[in-house]
Amino acid sequence: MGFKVTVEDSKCVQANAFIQEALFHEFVMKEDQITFKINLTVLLECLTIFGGTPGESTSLKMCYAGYGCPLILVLEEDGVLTDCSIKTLEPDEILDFNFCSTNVINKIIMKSECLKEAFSELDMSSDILQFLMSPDSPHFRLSTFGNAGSTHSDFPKESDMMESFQCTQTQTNRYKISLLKPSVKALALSTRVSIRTDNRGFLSLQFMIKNEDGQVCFVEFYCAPDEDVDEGPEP
Amino acid sequence: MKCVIPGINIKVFGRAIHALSKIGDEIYVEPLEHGLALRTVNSSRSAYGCFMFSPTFFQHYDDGSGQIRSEDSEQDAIRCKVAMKSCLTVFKSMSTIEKTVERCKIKLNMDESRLVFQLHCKHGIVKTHNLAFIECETLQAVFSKDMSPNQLTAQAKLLSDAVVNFQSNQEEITLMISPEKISLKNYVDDEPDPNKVVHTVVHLAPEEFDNCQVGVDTDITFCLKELRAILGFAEALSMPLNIHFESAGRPVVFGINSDTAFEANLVLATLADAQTQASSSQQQSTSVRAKPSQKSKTTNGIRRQQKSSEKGDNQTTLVDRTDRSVPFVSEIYLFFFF
Repeated sequence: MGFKVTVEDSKCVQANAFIQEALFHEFVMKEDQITFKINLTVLLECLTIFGGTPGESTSLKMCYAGYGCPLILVLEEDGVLTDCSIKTLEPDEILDFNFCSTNVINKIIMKSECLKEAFSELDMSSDILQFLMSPDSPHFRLSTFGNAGSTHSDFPKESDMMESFQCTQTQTNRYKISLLKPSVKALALSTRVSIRTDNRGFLSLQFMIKNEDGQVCFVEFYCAPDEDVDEGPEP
Repeated sequence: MKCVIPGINIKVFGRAIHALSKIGDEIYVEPLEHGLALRTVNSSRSAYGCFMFSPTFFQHYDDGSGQIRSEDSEQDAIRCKVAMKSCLTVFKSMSTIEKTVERCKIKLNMDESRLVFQLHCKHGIVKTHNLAFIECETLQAVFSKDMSPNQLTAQAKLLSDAVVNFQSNQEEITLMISPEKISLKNYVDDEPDPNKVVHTVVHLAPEEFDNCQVGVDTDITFCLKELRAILGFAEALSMPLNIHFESAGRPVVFGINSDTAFEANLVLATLADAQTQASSSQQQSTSVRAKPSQKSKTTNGIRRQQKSSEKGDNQTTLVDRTDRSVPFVSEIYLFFFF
């Protein structure tokens, strides 16, 4: 049991955050599964209403009475209480990327540290971010093709940043950089990342995030490859 | 051209690019026999920055001239310029670069016309940047430091502590020197009422300088932005800055010297005031024999060196006195040969 937050963009990318039951002091559910849609901006504004200063501990109570009811948030910090009531919406159909592990061709698990750097320095004048995964050198390469020229970051499989390297065939796929850039936030919080591509070139990024108590949460991204490969600049 | 910068020197190289990026929009890369030159000039051509990294700075240095000579003796050495922005992307975050980069290879890929920076980082990670470049003429300012009657040497900290007192949007400052006192003040011009502007003067005692040689009492006015750029560099490396200058209207040179590894020079035009304009024009016409720019009263102009028609000419003979000279936009003059 727990909590899953899903966001999507352009019908091409989907991000899921999993917050399991153990992270809450108290977690009560009367039904097996409840799904509703909510305005993310409003929700985030409410959650950071006390400014979200690090070191200050804000406690949160979240209640939902069922279909058609608003989501009630009660936040408390130093005896100051805030009540928020956010209207819930009819849930949309969630994209099914049909990403199953049996179709996975290449899989890498690495420490997030060095990928953070590569992602934060991405040349945003490039439209795409190219992933190359291969059993042969350079093993794992991230490339951008921007106004300034091209940039490649190579991560050899021998690197001590690599925790697992299971690449069976050379695959080069391109993804819209604007769709992947938001994952940098999850990446920044994470300690470990799993990168997988399937036979259709779909990408799955899974970030393992450890909180202060040593409990683990996951955030995952699915992204469809950029179709017009031929029209893109030469690698 | 191919060179390798060892890890300990990457900081210097990266900071040099950061300093140059605060001056100009393009970076001129020129591999020479005696080292790699990185240069830039600002858009109004009143500031010129040059870093010269000698072969000892590198772990490996090959200017590529040997290769060119054997293949085609007619061919000039390669000089190129790249957009400052793209060069800056390579050295974007200096803190991570200092922590992670173990060596940096720089080479010219002539087949694809790319200037290649390859950063070999910890954990076996390699980052390659292929930057588009344009072949160009050499960029060279002509200035002399040794003849200057006034020479000051100060720790970068002293000067940046002084300069920090000026507002960030302050464009020009005036340096006033006499044997008793060295002062910096903000230059106020074009104000409807100069009394309504904050005037800041910082006085420094000659003892605070490592070296203070005042030949002539002089006031010079120059741009602050570019000075801040080189001060930032000098301060990051805790190196002293040498200031060489003559009089108003003549360029001031800020220099940093690290024994043999590298040398940095920033040449800034200074404002020609009414009194010195007449005399300086005489001096310059004798010393430089530059063609006077049409509308200015002084004879400074900027020149672009035409690519020598006789290929294979020694490229260090820079001066082609017949080519066009670009008149200066503002009242700031500096004599350059390109």
